[in-house]
Amino acid sequence: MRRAGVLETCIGVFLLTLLAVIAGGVYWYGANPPKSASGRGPGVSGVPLGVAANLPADLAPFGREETFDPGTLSDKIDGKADLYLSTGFVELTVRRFAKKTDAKSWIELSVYQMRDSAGAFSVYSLQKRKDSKPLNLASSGGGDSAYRTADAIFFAAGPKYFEITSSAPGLMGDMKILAINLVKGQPRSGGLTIESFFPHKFLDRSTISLHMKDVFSMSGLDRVYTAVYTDRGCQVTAFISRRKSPKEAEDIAAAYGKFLLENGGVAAGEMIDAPGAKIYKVFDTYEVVMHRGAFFAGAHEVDKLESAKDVALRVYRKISEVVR
Amino acid sequence: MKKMGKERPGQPGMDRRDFLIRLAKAGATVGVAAGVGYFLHDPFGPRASAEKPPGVLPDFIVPGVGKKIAIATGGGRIKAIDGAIEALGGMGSFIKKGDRVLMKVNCAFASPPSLCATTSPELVAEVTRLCFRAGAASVAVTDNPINDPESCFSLSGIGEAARSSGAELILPRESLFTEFTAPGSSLIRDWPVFTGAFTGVTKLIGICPVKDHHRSGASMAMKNWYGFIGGRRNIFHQNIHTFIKDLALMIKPTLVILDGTFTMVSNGPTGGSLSDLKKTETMIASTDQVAADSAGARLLGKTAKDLPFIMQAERAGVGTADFESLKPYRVSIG
Repeated sequence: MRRAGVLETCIGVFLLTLLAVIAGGVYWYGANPPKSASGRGPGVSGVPLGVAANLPADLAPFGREETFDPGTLSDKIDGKADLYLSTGFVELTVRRFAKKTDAKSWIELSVYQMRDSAGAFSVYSLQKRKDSKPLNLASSGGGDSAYRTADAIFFAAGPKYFEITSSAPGLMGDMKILAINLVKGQPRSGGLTIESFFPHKFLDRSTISLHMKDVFSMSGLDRVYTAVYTDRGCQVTAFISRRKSPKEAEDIAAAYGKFLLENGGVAAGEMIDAPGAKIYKVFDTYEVVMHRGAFFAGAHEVDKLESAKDVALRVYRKISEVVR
Repeated sequence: MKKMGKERPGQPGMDRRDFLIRLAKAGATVGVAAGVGYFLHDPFGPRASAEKPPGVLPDFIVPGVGKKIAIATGGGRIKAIDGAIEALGGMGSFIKKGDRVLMKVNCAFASPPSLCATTSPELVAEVTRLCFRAGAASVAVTDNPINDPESCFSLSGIGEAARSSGAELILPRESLFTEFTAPGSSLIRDWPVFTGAFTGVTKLIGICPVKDHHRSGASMAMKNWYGFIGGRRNIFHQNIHTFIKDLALMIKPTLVILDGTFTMVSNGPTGGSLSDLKKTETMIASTDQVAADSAGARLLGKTAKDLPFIMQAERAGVGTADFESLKPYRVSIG
């Protein structure tokens, strides 16, 4: 039999070595599964997002930076992880900063990297605190959506959602500086123009929210914006969702109407001024379901029929200004 | 030997014999590799010894005390817990001389006490004091926060409160977990449980805040036992109501304390702002964890029927969701 040449022997040894390395890697990975939190060490450049350069002078990094991926997010925020995971969560980075003069006064910065700006706005809007105050970070070039409470700041900028929380009173000044510095250079959110389709009269702008999944308990219904109006003392939740095509919007309106009928609703007429708009009575509340162009829209769970129709009609007309 | 036709480029001199020998070697190599692979293949993935019988954690219920609940309102945390415990007959009804008490707190997050996402440190200190005054030989405080326990115990203030009041801290470490199967549970099977924390313990007290919870609707006394579970426990969120019921079946506490001085009514279980809290000035202490959660649900504007885990636990015989049937001791502190 012919003996193997030098080149063949070298190739054979190389391939066997490669296989051994792969086998060793597989064995090591199996023996060392990913840990709960992928805490990166507090390296020299361990401060995220260029915060070090923008940190208020009286704050210093405190503790190590931590990052969490979709597999470990619940290690940090437990049951609230689902909210993010269903909305396009990519990564969470957390870092704390303490007052140089008082280590018990510290803030925690949480930066949620989402897949897109819609995801960031969604988690921002769905957690909005009721007694919050709008915060203007836009003058710095970013921060489309921001608010503050007595002890925290929350905002979305581009595909990121930020939370700055505090351990003690008296840190709001530093938190604002940090927030403004953080939004500098962040891309402005491009997915919020839907706001302009909500008529302004009687609208509480702070209630505009984006629901990403299984909206109104209907499986598969996604990306629906809601906003609350107060019409003659009655609260009305209006909704708008831009779909890919007029056909898709029409199909979704039909599917949602069917869903309501299957879940205790009854047909309660149509709206003459909004062609195709249907009214349903679901137990003690009313729903208006309509489509116009590529928009699926309506009013949700309204106590008074007249208020539901009034707000739905105004939404319909506003959409019609664009869709001609 | 006769050549097998024309020689191919790059294969000079190969005849039938060479070909058959090489073919046999290649076949043997493939066969051995396949055999080894088959031998090592585990179709069920990593798991503990599957045949381990169900384990039983100690029963910490004090015989003869029965099902009781006290609801104290007003006065701040210290007066409220003192009032509630007094209404139940005093800590001496539960803790006897020489008892070794384990206090299971909610220390799930590295967040400050002001946010009420974790058990109040002043409550930990006061209950520790009450236990020692009743004659406890030792008090240990524990939880398994998964995410960096040192930070959680430090920043929540619980670690310092425990130490300063004479309690021992038991931080989770691998040697304290054992593979455990809870009787009657379809979920807690061969799963790492923090059983080491129970070593030598004679009484168990659960203390936690009342919180909204994005997944289960509420985080209260029964959900607090989640901290006795290790591993990738977030997978149980998919079946969280049944899991909480299973936890309540597994853990039989001496007493549970629900702190509703401030209730986290939104964005739970982490919260993040004082805006997520509502001043509800209520302290609930009970020997019946289901009744305690049912009373706590009211602070969240809910009833037991809104929270499936409460009704499941009642059906499983853990306790009663109709806490009023226990004729609560109501204590109003000015």
